Formats: sequence, structure tokens, C-alpha cells
Amino acid sequence: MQASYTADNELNRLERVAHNRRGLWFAVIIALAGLLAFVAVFNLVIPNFGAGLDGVPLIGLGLLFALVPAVLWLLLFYRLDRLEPEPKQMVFNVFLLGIFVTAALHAPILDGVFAVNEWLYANWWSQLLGNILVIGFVEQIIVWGIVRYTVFSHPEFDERVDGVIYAIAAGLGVATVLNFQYVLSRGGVDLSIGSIRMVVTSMAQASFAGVLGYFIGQARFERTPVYYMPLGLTVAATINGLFAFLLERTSAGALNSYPWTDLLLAAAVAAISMAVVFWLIARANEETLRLAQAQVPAYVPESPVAAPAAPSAEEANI
Amino acid sequence: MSALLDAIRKPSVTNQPPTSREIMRSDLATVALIIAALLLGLAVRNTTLSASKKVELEGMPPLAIPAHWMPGTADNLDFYARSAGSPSIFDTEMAVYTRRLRNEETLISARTAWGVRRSQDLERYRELSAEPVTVLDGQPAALVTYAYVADPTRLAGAGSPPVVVQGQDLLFIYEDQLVVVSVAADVTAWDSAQKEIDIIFGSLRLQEVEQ
Repeated sequence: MQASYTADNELNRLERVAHNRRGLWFAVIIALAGLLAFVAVFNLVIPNFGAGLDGVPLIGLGLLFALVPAVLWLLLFYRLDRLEPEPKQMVFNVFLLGIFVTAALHAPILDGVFAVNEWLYANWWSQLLGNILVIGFVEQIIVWGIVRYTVFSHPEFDERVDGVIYAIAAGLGVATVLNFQYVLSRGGVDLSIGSIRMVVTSMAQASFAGVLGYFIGQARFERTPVYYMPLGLTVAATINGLFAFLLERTSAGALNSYPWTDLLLAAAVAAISMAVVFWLIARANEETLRLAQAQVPAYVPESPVAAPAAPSAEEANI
Repeated sequence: MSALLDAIRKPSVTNQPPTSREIMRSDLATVALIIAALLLGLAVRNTTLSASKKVELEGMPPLAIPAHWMPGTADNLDFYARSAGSPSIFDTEMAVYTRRLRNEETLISARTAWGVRRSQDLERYRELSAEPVTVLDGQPAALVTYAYVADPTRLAGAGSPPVVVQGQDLLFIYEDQLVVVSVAADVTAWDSAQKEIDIIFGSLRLQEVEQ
């Protein structure tokens, strides 16, 4: 009796871990479409919005714009994932922590310790390696550190996909600070071009964090090999670095960058990486449930009650 | 490739969560990777900053400048290059100026005349120090350190405030010519530019003279 009770618990746990959230996937698609709509509104519908502003009002409006992508993304997560959302406060706290940690570490490490502006653009290989090893890693370390040392061991982190949700929240925190820095360093920005730049940064950071979040989710619920989490961090940092490298190289030598090309690239990277992450999660969930159905009847509890005989592999696959 | 994808998709076939020991092992491996990546990044930075390219000028010993500096043109100069990655609006720069020695002109008299010319050309010019040094194979030379005020954005119509610039002129005589190799940087960026300046003066084998 106790054995079957514990086996049911284990099955419940695994079903929880392998829960597929259709609403979440839909939320991500709508969020990406919403960000593109945000850009379209301020470039095509009201392209001269804020044109008469200068100084502090322009900076203030720019900072508000910088918040829009993250707020839009987080709101959609809740509206469309409302059947089984993560605790609002936890996701918001992770986002805030992303802002604080990035504000505290990003510029001091990149500008203070590595002084990237002095050497990053010296030649193509320093630009490529610097973007991956320094910028990509620093940004993804922030995301990994926040998720790993805050919510990773929390009971609410009970589904594989939670890794993606919390990592995206932290990534949006990183993106928000990068957007703030972009506005403040220029004393305000042209809001049509600025909105594109902010959306590009947000989409990109959410995508990299989503990839890292997949690995974090797996490391939380699977007995992963020792290289697994480092591999995830390397993959996310490499995509991050390659993306920055591509953006910089396509605008190299020109007086202006090509914001629409950047936007297309960011949208493509976001769509592809999210599709791959969701596909991987769906496959992993299927595998978990398949194994669970095969293994749970053979579950051996830590009790003196005799366990039923384990089915053979052939039986388990029937 | 499919094995790697399988490992990424389903890293274990037990459905068991990791033990705290396994999580700690994973954390340690991740931290080790982070340290390795950042150290590699630091190595790329140092390699880039210390990389140099040779500059061959007629009547001049071979000279090296940082690999990422961009050569440019400037009036009355034999060579000019600047760093595009300077943190200041005043790019760290170097210039080479040569002229034939006048009758009975020595390094000391040439250095005095050069100082007068600098004080006329540069705004708020102030000589900070001058020391005897040697270049190449023990050739006597003078290293003059100075400061002045530059206004690099004024011509472009921008409103940035002027910049206090620190510079060094290395003067020596080479094949009956006075050679002046100058470096200059925003005074706040002077220390961080030292590595790049060392590449330029190091290529001329600049040595201090023991008093």
C-alpha cells in the first residue's frame, strides 16, 4: 500500500516536471509579435513621436521606452499562462534582480576590468572572441547566477519549463539595463530608431536566456553529466557573442547601423531559438513520461514492504 | 551529432533528480568554465593590446605602432596614427616629424627650439619634465613630457568641453635628421594608454640613462 502510494507520488512529480504549457508557448509568440507591433507603431504610425523633446524629458521618455519590451513580455506571460502561472512575485523578483545585478556588475566588469572599448574593435578576431568570451559570458553568467542561486532550489521551481521562464525574466532584466545605458549614454534617443534598438536587445537577451534556461531546467530535474550545465552556458554565451558580432560587423564601416536588418536578425534568432527550446522541452517531457510509465510500477520505496518485480525492458516498452 | 542532441535532449535515462552532491559538482564545473572563459577573454584582450604592426618610413628607423591603430594624414607630419578605441573624445595618437639638421645644430639646441615651437602651437602648453634617454643602439635622445589643452570637437561643431592632453616627445638625431616621435592622450586616459605607448617607444629601444 505504502509502495503504491509512493509510486503515485513519484508519478505525480514526474508528470509535474514534464508538464507542457501550451499557453506559455503561445505567450512567447504573442510577445514577439507585440514587440514587432511596438516598433511598427513608433516607426510607421507615429514616427515623429517625441520629436519636439529635448534634455530631461527626452531621456525620461527614452527610459520609459526601455522598460516597454520587458513589461510587455512579463504581462503576456501572465495573461496567457494564467492557468498555471509561476508566482507573480517570484518572476518579478527575478526580473528586478536581473536589473540590479546587471547594473552593479555589467559596466564595471566590461569597462573597468576588461576595458572592452579599447581593444574589442581592433580586428575581426578580437571582436569575435571578445564578444563571446567576455560580453557573452558575462551576460549569461548574470542570468545563470540569478536563477541558480535564487529560485533553482525553490519548491515552485517544479517544472522543466520553469528554467526557461525564470531565465527569460532574468534576461529581460539584463536587456532593460542595456537599454537604460543606451538611452543615458546618448542623453536620450530618437524614439523611432531607439524603439528598434530596444526591441532588438530585449528579443536577443530573452532568446539567449531561454536557451540557457532550458539547460538549467534539465539540470534541476535530471541527473546530468558534469559537463551539461557548462555546455549550456557555453552555448548561450556563444549565441550571445555571435549575435553581437554579426550586428557589429553588418554596421561596420557605415555611419549608421541598419536597424531594420538588426530587427529582422533578432526576430529570426528569437523565433528559431525559442522554437528549438520548446521542441527540445516537448521531446524531453515525452521521454520523461514514457520512462515514468515504464519505471513507476517497478518503483522500489525505502520501506520493508516487498517491491513488485521489475518489468523487463521489452515489457516496459509495450 | 545525433548523440550530442540526444544528450542535450535527455541527459539521463533514470528520471531521477540530481543529488545535492551532483548539483554541487555541476556548480563547480560551471564556475571552472566561467573562470577559464574570462581568463581566455583577458588573454585575448592582452594579446590585442600588445599586438603591433611595423611602419617603414624613409630616413627613419623601423617603428611599431599598436596593431589596432589607424594611420591617417596630418599637415607637416611624416606619419600620423590614432587609436579608434580611445575612451575620450581625444583619441590617443602618435605622430612622427622629421627635418634636416641646421648648421651646427645639436640635440640640445634642437630640443630647445622644438620646445619653443610647441609652446606657440599648443594652447596652454606646459612642460612637465625632460630627461635624457637613449634610443636604438645607445643613441642620445631627449624625452619631454608636457600637457596642453585641446578642443577636438570644436571644428565639428559639437559642444563637448576641451580636454587636457598629456604628451611625450622623443627627440633624437638619425642620419643628419632631427626625428621627433610624439605620443599624446587625454590626461585621464594616459595610464591606460601606457601599454600602447610602450609599443611605440619600445620599437625604438628607448632606455633611461642612469644618472
